[in-house]
Amino acid sequence: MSAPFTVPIRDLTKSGIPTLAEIGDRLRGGAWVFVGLGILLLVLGLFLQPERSWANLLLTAFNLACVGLGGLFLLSIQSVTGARWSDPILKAHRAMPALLPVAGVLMLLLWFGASTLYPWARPDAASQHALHGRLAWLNTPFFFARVVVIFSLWIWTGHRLARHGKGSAAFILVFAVTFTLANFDWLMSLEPIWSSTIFAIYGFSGMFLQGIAIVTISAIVLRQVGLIPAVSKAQNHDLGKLLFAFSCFWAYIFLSQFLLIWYANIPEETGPMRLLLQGKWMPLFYLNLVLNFGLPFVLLLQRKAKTNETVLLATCTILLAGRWLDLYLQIMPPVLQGGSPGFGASELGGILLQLGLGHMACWPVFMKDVNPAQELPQAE
Amino acid sequence: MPITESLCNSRFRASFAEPDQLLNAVKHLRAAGHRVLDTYTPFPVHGMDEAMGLKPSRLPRACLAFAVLGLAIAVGFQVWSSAIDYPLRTGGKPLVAIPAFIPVAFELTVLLAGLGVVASFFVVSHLRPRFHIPDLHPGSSDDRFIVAAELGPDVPFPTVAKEMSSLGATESCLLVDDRFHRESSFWDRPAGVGTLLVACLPSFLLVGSVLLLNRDFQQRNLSWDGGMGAPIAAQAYDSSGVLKGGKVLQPPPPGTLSRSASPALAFLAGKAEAERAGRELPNPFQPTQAHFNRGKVVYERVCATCHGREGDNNGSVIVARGAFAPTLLVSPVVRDMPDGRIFHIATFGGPTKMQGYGDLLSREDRWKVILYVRELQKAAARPIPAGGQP
Amino acid sequence: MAHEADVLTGPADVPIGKADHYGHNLPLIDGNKSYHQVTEEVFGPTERRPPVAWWIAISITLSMLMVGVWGGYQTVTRGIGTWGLNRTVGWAFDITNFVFWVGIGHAGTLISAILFLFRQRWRTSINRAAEAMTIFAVMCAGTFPIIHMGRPWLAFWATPYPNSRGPLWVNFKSPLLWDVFAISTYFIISLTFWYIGLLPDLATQRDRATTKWKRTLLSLFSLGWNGSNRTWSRYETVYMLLAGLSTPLVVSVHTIVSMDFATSVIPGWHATIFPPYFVAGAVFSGFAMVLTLMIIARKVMNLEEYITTRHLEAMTKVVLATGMIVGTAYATEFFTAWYSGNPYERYVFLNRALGPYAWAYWMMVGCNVLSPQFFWFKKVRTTPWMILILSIFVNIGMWFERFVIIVTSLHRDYLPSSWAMYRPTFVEVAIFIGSFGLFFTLFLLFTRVLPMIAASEVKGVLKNADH
Repeated sequence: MSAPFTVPIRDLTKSGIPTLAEIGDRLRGGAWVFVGLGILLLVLGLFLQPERSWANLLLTAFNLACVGLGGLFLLSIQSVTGARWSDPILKAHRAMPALLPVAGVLMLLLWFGASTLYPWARPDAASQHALHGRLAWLNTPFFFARVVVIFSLWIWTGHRLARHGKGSAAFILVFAVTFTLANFDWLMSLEPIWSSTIFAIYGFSGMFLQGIAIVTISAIVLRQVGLIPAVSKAQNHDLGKLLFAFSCFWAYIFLSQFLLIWYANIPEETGPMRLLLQGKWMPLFYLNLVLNFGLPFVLLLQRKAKTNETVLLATCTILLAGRWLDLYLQIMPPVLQGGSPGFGASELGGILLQLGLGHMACWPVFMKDVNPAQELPQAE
Repeated sequence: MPITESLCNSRFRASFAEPDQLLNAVKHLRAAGHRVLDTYTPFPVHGMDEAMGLKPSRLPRACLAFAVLGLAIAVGFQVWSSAIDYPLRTGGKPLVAIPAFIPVAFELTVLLAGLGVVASFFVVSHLRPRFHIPDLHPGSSDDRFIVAAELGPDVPFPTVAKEMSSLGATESCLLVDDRFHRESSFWDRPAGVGTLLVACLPSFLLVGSVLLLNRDFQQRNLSWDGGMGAPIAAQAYDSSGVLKGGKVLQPPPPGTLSRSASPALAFLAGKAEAERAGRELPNPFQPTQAHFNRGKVVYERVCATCHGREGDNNGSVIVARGAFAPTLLVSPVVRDMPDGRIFHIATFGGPTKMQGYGDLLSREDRWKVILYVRELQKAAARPIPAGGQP
Repeated sequence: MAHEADVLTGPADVPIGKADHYGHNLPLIDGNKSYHQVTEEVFGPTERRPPVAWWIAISITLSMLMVGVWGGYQTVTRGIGTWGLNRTVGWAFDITNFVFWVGIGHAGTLISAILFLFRQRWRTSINRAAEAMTIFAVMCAGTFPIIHMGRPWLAFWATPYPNSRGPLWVNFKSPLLWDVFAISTYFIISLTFWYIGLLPDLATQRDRATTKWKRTLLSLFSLGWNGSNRTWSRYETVYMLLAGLSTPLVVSVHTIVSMDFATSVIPGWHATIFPPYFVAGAVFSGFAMVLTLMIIARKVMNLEEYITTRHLEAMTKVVLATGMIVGTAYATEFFTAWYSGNPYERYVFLNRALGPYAWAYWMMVGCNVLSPQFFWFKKVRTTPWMILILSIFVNIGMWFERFVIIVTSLHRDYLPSSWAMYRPTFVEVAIFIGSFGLFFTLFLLFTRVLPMIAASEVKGVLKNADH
C-alpha cells in the first residue's frame, strides 16, 4: 500500500542543531528558576488564599506522580506484550519514574495543609453526619500512612522495572490497587459525600494519555536532534494513533461517569457535576472536553496528520494543558466550596514547579539512557 | 477484425508460484515498458500497490462522509422526534437531552459509515452477484500468483515469455480474447464518489418525507400495524351503543330491593301520592348539627347544581346558561310544603323537570337534605338589614 | 494480511535469545505448509460428507434447540407467567442470558478488529471462527428480549417507524432503546465484517466447486471476486476501516448493555464503573468461549497446525488479564460501597456475599477471579485440556456474574415486605438450553459449510511470519 517512508536522519554536520547535552545545559538554569519561582509563588499564595495554594500543591504532587506512573505503565505494557516497535522511539518513559520520590515528598508536605483541603481532616468532621461512615478510613494518620505505603510500593516496583526490567506483571497488579486507592484518597475524598466507582479509571485514562503525550514529545525532540536513528514516519503514525485512541478512551470514560451520574440524578452524586455545570465553571467544563478530546480528535483524524510532527507536537501540548485543566477541575471546585475559578499566583507557581521539578528529576536519567542503546527489559 | 486481432495478441499473462517472483516480474515488466493490467493473487501481496503504481484508495473519505451523514441523521431525528414532533417529558430530563442522545447517535454513525464504505467498495470494485466471473485465471484463488499485462510496442511475446520464465514463471501465454480491456472506472474518480452520494440523496429524502407524512396512514387496514393504533374503544362522554337510552348508568329493574334491607316505600309516583306523603310521612330526623351537616354536604353536591347553593336558583349549570329555572326552594310554596311531600319529590321527581333521586341518594340523605333546605328557607326569610323588601 | 502496518515493526534489535521468549521468530502456522496444502486442508472439510461424530453432535444440539422452541412456545402461548419472575424480581433469567450471550460475542469482534489494529498476527487462524461465534451469539442474545416481550411478532414496535398512532415515537432517552440500536448495529456490522472477510475464501470455494448449483450459488455470493490486486488494495482499506469502526462499536455495545442497569438508581446497579467493567467482563467471557470452541474444533477437525498451542497461550493471557480487571472491579465496587457510607449500598454488597444468593456470588468469585490464576503457569497455558476446563469455568463464572448483579440487587427491595426470592422455572431453563442449542447448531453448520479458517489470511502469514 504505502512505502515505508523513512525520514532521513538529520545531517548532524549542519550547524545550528544543538546536541542533547547543549539542550540540557540551556534548560538547567531555567529549571532552577522555575522551581525557585514556583516555591515562592506557592508560599505567597499561602498568605493570600491558603486553600488554593494547598490545592495547587496537591495538583502538582499528584500530576508529577502520574507522570512517573505513566512512564512505568508504558514500560510494563511494553515489557509484557513484548512490543518491539516502540523501543527505538520511546525513551522518556524510562526517565519519568524518577519523579516518583519527588512527588512523594510533595504529597507528604500536605500533612500541614490537610485540614484546609479535606473536609474529613477538619476538627468538626466527627460532627458531620455525611462523614460518619468514612472516618474509619479517612483520618489524617491512616491517610498519610497510606501515602507512605503507596509511594514506597511505586518507587520499589518502579525501580525494579525501570532499572532491572523485572516485575512488569507484578507492577501492573500493584499499580491497579494502589492507583485506585490513590485516586480515591487524594482526589475523591475532597468531596465530602461523593463517590464514583469509575473514578480511578478516569484518573488512569488521563494519566496514560499524558504519558503518551510526553513520550511523543521526547521522541520528536530526539529525532530533531538526530539521536534516534532510522525513525520512520510510520512510527510517528503509531504514536499519533496511540494519542488518538487514548484521547477517545479518555472521552469514553468521561462520558461513562458523566452520563450515569447525570442520568440517575441522585443528589449525593450530582454534587461535583452540578458545581461544574453552573456559573463560571461551566466554560472550563466544556474547555476540558475540547482540550482532551475535541481538538485532538479533529487534529489527528486524518492519516497525514498523524505522521506530521508539527501536528503531533501541537496535539501533545494541548493534551498537557488539558490534563492540567482536568485535574484543576477535579480539585478546585470542592476546595473552594462554590467559589469562582481563578488563575493566580498559586496556579502559576504549581505549573512552574511541575515543569522545573520534571526537568530536574528526569533529565539526568534521560541523558544516561538515551545515549547507549538500551536493551529491552526482560519479562519475568 | 485485424485491429481486434492485434489488440488481443498484445495481452498475455504469466503465473508464478511465489509472491516475491510476481513482485519482481511486475517491476520488471513496468521497467521494460509493458503495461501491467492487473495481478491476480490468493492474498494481497505486500508491496504490489507500489510496484503497480496504484494510488491509495479514497474510500476513507467516503467512510467519513457516510459517518457525518449518519451522525446528522441520528442527531436530527432524535431532536425532531423527542422535542418537536412528540415532545414528551420523561425521567425529568429536558426534551433535547443531548447526553442521552449520544449512544444512539454513535451507533447510527458507525452503522452508516460501515455500510456506506462497504457499499462504496462494492461499487468502485464492480463487485456484485455474478453468474460469470470476469478475468478469472486458474489457480489465482489457490496458489498461483498471476500477472496480466499488455505487450509494449515492438516486443514479441516469445521474448517476454522467456524473460518471465527466467523470473520463475511456471506458465505464460497470450490471452486470446479481449476480456482484459479495462476502462478506468468512473467510480474511481472523485466525481464518482460524489455522484454516489448524490444518488443516495433521493432515498434519504424519501425516508425523510415518509417521516413527515406519518399522519397520513390513518385509514384503517392500510396502516402498518393492522389498525391496532385506531381501536374501537369508548371515548369519554360518548353515548353507549348497546345500552338503553345510550346511558351507561341504567336504573335498577323494577322491584329491585335495596341490600340495606329497609322496607320499600309505600308510595308511587304522582301528584296524589305526593300529597299523601306530605300528610303521612314525618321527618324521622331531628334537626341536629350532625344531620344538618350531612344534609349540607349532600345538598351542595347534588342539589346545588340546579337549585343554587343558597336555594336561590343561582346554580352553576343550568340557570346561569339560560336554560329553565327549577322551582325556587326558598319560595313560600316550598316553604309551606310538608317534609313528606318534599321527600316524595326528591324520591320520585317533581311536577316539572326534576328527576327522582331515589336511586342515587339514600333515604336518610334525602331526609337530611330536607333539614338543610328548611334552614336555607329560614335564612332567606330573614329580612335583609340594609336593603328594603323586594 | 500484509497491510502497511507490517512495515512499522522496527528493526529486529531483540537479541536472539530473547526473541523466542516473545515468540517473534516462531512461525504462526506449524507444519511448513505450501499454499495449496492450506487450501486443501481448509476447504477439504466443506467438500466431504460430515463424519458420524458431526451427525451425533448436531442431533444433540438440535434436540437442545427443540427444548428451547418448546420453552418459547410455552412462553408465547401461556404468557410470561410461566417464568419465575415476580413483582420484586422483574428481570432475571432472560436478561442474564441476554447479557451473557452479548458478552460472548465480544471476543469475536475483539479478535477480528482490535487485534488486527494491534497487529497481533496470530489472530489470522482464529478470526473467522471467532467472528462466526460473534454473529451466532448475538442472535442468541437477541432472542431473549424478544421472547420477553410476550408478543414477539410486535418486536418491531421497538424501532422508530412512522406509525398511525399520531405523532408517537420511541423514547430516545431510554437505555433499553439504546440497546435496540446497539445490538442491531453490532449484528449488522459484525455480519458485514464477516462477509467481507469471507469474500476471497468464497471465491476459492467457488473455484473448487464440483456441482453446478454449488458453483452458481457461490458465484452469486462471491460477487465476482477474481483476486485482482486493484480489488485487494481497496479491500484492505475497507477491512482496516471496518476494524477501526468495530473497535469503538464493540466497546459501545457492552457499555450500553451495562447502562440498562447503571442508569437506574438501584443500589448494586447504579455504579459508574459498570461500562468499562462490563466490557472487560465481556472480553473475558468471550475469549473463554473462543478457547472452549477452538480447543474442541482443532481436535475434531485436525487443525492443530493452524490453531497451535501458541495461539491458545496468547488467548489465555488475554483471559488472565481481563480476569484480573474483572476481579479489580469487584473489589472496587465492594470498597466503594463501604466507603460511600450509604447503608443501602453496603447492604446490597453484604447481601451478595452473605445473603441467600451467596452460593452464586462465591461461584462467581471462584470461577472468575480464582480459576484464571492458574494461567500464571506456563504448563497450564500450553496444555489444551487444562485450558478447556478453566475456560468452561470462566464461562460459568461470567454467567453467574450477570445473575448475581441482576437478581441480588433486585430481590431485596427497600421495603422488607417486598423481599422475594427468584427461582427459574423449567420453561426459562428450557429457553436457555435452547439458546445453546441454537448457538452450537449454527456453529456446527458453519464448520461444514464455510471455511473455518481464513485461508487467504493464513496464506499471507505462511511464509513471512516475522515480517
